[in-house]
Amino acid sequence: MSGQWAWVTFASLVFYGSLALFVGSIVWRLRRARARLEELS
Amino acid sequence: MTAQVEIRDRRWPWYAAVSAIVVALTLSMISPADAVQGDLIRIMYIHVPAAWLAYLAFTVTLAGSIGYLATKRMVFDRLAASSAEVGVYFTGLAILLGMIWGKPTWGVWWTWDARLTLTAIMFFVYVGYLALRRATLDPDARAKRSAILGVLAIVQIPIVHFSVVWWRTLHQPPSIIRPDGPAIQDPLMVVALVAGVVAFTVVYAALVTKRMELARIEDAVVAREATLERPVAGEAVVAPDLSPEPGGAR
Amino acid sequence: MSGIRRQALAVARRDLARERRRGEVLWVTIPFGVIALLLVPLAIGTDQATLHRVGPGLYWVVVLLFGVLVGVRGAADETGPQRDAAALLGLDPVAVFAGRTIATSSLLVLFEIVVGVAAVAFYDIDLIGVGWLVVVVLLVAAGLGTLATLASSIVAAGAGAAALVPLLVAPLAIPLLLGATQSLDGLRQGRSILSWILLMIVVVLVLGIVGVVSSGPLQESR
Repeated sequence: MSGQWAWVTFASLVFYGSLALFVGSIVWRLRRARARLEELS
Repeated sequence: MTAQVEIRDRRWPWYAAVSAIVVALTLSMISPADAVQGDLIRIMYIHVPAAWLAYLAFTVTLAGSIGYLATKRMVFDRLAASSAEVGVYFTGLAILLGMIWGKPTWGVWWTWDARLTLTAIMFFVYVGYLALRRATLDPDARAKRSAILGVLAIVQIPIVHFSVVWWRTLHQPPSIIRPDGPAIQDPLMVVALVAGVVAFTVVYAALVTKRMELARIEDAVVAREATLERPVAGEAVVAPDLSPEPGGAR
Repeated sequence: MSGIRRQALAVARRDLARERRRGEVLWVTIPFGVIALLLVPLAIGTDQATLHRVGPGLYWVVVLLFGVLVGVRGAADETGPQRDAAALLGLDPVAVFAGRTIATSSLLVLFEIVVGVAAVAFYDIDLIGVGWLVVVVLLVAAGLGTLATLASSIVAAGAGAAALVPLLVAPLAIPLLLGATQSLDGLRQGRSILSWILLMIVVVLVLGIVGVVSSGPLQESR
C-alpha cells in the first residue's frame, strides 16, 4: 500500500509542482512586461 | 493596437483557481481506494482533468483561430495563443501523469495504444504551433499564419486520429492488455472526478485569462517601442534587442 | 481556369529549372536520405532477417523525415522580394501554391525512387505488387509535397524555417506514413490495401483544399 501512496505522491508532486512553475512563469512574465510598459510610458 | 492598457493586477482568477483546487484535492484524498487499483486510482483525479483540458484548450484555440480569421481582431489571436500554450502544458502533464500511472499499474511507462499515441502527436502539433508563433515577429503576420495553422491542425487531427485507431485495431498489442479504465463503483469517486474536472477547468480559465493579459501587455510594449524607436530607425542597424523577449511564447 | 493551370505549370517549371541548376535535392537531400538508411544497420546491427523485417518501415520514416527537406528548399526561396514579385506579376496565389506543390511532389517522387533503390539493396526488401507500389509512391509524394508546401508557406521565410517546417509537417504526415507502411504490409500478406489507399487520397484532397483556400490570405501577409 505504501508503494502505491509513493506513486500517488510522486504524481501529485509532478502535477502541482509543474502547475506552480507554470503559474510562476506567467506571473513573472506579467510583472516584467508591466514594468517594461511603465518604463516606456 | 489598444492605446490604453490597463495595468491593474486582477487577482480573482488566482483566488478562484486555488479554492477550486483545494476542494478537488480534498475530495480526491477522502474518496475510497479502488478495489483493483487501490490508492493508485487517486492519480486518475489529476490525470483525467489534465487530459480533458488538453482537448478543451485546443478546441478553444480552434475557436480563437476561426474568430481571428473572420474578424481580424487581435483578442481572438491572443485567445488562441494563450489557450494553445496552456493546452500544451496540460497535454504534456496528462502524458506524464499517464506514464506515472501506467508504470505501477501495467509495469511499463508507455504503451502504444491509440489514445496515448494520439495525445503525444497532438502535443507535438501544438508545440509546432507555439514554435511558429515564436519564429514570426510581425504581430499581424503571426496572427494570420498561426490561425491558418490552428485550422490546418484541427482539419488534419481527425484524419490522424482515424488512421492511428485503424492501425491499432490491426495490430493489437500482444502482451500488455490495457483495461478500459477502472470501474468506478463508489459515488464519492464520481464526485471527486467531477470536482477535479470542474476545478481544473477553473484553473484553465484563470491561466488563459492571465496569459491573455500578458499577451495584451506584451503587444502594447512592442507597439510603444515601435513608436519610440522610429526617429532612430534609419540611423543604424543594431543587434536584435531580445530584452522584452519578442518570442516570449506568445 | 486554364489561366491558373498555365500559371501553375509555369511556376512549377521555374521551380524545377532552379533545382536543375542548383541540384539541391539531387546532390544534397537524396544523399542525406541514403546515408540515413546506411546508418541504421550500423546502429541496430546487420542481422539480415531483422533488416529485412524493419526495412520497409525504415524506408518510409526516412522518406517522411528527409522528404520534408525537399519542401523546405521552397521555403528558403520564398523570400519577401520574391513574393512581392509574384504578386506584382499578377500571379494567382492558388497557381503559385499549385505550382510549388507540383514541383515539390515531382522532386519527392525522384527522392522516393532513388532512396527506394538504396533501401531495396541494403535491406533486401521484396517488391510485391509493383503496380500498387507505384500508386503508393505517388500518393505519398503528392500528400507530403502538399503538406510541405503548405507548411513552408505558413512559416515565414528566414531564420528557423529549416527546422520549423519539419516540426510542423512530421506529426501531421502520420496518416501518410501509416497508409504507406500498412499498404506495403498488406501487399506482403495479401490483404486488401484499398482502404489505406483511400485514406491517402482523402489526405491529399483535404490538404489540397486547405492549401488552395489559405493561399490567398497567406500571400497578403508577409
